[in-house]
Amino acid sequence: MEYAVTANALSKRYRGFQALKGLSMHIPQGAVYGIVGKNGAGKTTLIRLLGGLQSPTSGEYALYGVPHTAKEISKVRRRMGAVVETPSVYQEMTAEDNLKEQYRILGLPSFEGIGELLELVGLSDTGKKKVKHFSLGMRQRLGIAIALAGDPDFLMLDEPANGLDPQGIVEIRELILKLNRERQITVLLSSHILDELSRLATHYGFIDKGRMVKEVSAEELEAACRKCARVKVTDTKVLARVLETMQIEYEIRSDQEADIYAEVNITKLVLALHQEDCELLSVTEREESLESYYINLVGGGGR
Amino acid sequence: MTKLLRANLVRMTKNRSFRDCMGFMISYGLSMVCMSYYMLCKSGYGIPLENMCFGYASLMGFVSAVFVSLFLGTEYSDGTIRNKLTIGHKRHTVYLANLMVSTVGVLVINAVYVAVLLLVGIPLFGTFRPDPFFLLTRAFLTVLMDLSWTAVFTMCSMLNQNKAAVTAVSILSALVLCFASGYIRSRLSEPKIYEPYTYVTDKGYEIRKEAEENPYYLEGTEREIYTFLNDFLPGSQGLQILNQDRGRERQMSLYSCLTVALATGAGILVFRRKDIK
Repeated sequence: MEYAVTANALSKRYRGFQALKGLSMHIPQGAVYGIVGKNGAGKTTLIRLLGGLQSPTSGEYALYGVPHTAKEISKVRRRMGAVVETPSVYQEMTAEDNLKEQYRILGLPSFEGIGELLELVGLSDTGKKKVKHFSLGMRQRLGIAIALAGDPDFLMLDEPANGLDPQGIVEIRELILKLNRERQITVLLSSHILDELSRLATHYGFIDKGRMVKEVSAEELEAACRKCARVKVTDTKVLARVLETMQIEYEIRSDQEADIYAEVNITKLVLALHQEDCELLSVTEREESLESYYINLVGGGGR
Repeated sequence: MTKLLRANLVRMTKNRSFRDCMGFMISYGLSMVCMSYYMLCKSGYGIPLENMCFGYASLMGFVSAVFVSLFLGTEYSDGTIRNKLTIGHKRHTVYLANLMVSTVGVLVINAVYVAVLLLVGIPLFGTFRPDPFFLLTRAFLTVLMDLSWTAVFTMCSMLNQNKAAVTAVSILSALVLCFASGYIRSRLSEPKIYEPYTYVTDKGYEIRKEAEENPYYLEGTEREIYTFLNDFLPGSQGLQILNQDRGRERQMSLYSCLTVALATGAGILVFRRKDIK
């Protein structure tokens, strides 16, 4: 698998505070990678490091295979766009002037494409209105437009839904999906709105206290969060045999526990088990959400 | 670098602090001309054109403090410096581009002031009295002084991410430096000996005071330090240019270049390692 970003044992220490502690991560190209973590878990610090705004205290990361210490990293960064925390836009300028400024910073030969970008983020009708008079959602969208100005392959968005109204959240979500699907842009998203993230991400990285707790793909997560019946029996070998006969999908968890991924007729199951001297001790219906998965992973304790 | 210079220059032309500083200097220049013309009509003596022309030298500390801190502070307050760094512009390039454009801005503000003064002043007062070489030397020293002010305030603005704080610190620094410069100049101007003089009391007695040594006269190392500061500090240079002092041009030029080199070197060194939020 080819990766847009890999990080290995990344650490960042501020005066008296360790924000990242040996974090490792892998963002596949073309993915929408969601970083999940509490406030202060290290999401923004990670994005700042990847964006070149800060240097790691130790460890390393690579963008498209180029280590962050290599000279060529500047050229690779040209393929990136980022919105870190708040949108980086000149408040005294119009949306169009902001984009023109970014085009100049990028050294693009003409302003061709600005209209299309404004159209894409839904700001084509803002005219002479200065950014300071924009709503938060409009600023967020302009920030994304600026990040897209260099036609990047990799986009980093730090809490893009922060402070947006429901309509704004939907618009940003659709924009990100559009960019990922139509332009094959790899997206790194940080958010603590898990429900929102679950509608977008193809991969997840769960961060807690500056460490990567787990990286999973959306498929793996879906499998882990599947609705199932957790059964407790006296012998799971017998249970497995019975379920095989009944052609029911299952997963053995221990000598006494197993998850059954189908609606099962309890009476038939009990009878089948009884015939092989196995007892059904308990049945619990389980459905794990991303939220409960995350809580189980990092623990629900205080910060 | 050229990309950043171009982007910064365009931004500067649209920047409010740049236009406000320019407007202030134009108003200041026009008010100087009006005041001088009024004095000329009233008393027959006006402020010479060259004095008005270099009158801005003492003000440039404040003007560059306001302009540079507001212009560059916007990069942090609006967060737009991140747009430059995330797409791979090197830190020293960002710093130097900001320094260069700020310098251009300060010089343009200067040039506009002089142009307005000459346009209005020459028809009213005629041309300059001193020789052109002297005037060119003053102009050259002014440019160097502007460069050193700008380098110092660029360093402050690039190393502090709080726009309001950096603006306040820059203006206060300019103020303190100007007061310090005035004090240094007055100490250096103290006569070594108070000349003898005679005065008459209320009762008609004539009292003669003999010549006596001035206890405030600076000598030895102390005088050397004050002289160094007088040539080194941009505020003191401004006063020397304003008063059209002669004889310290070489030292002033050298120290201005030194200030630019030190401030820029230190600024880049720290900025390269700075954590940007």
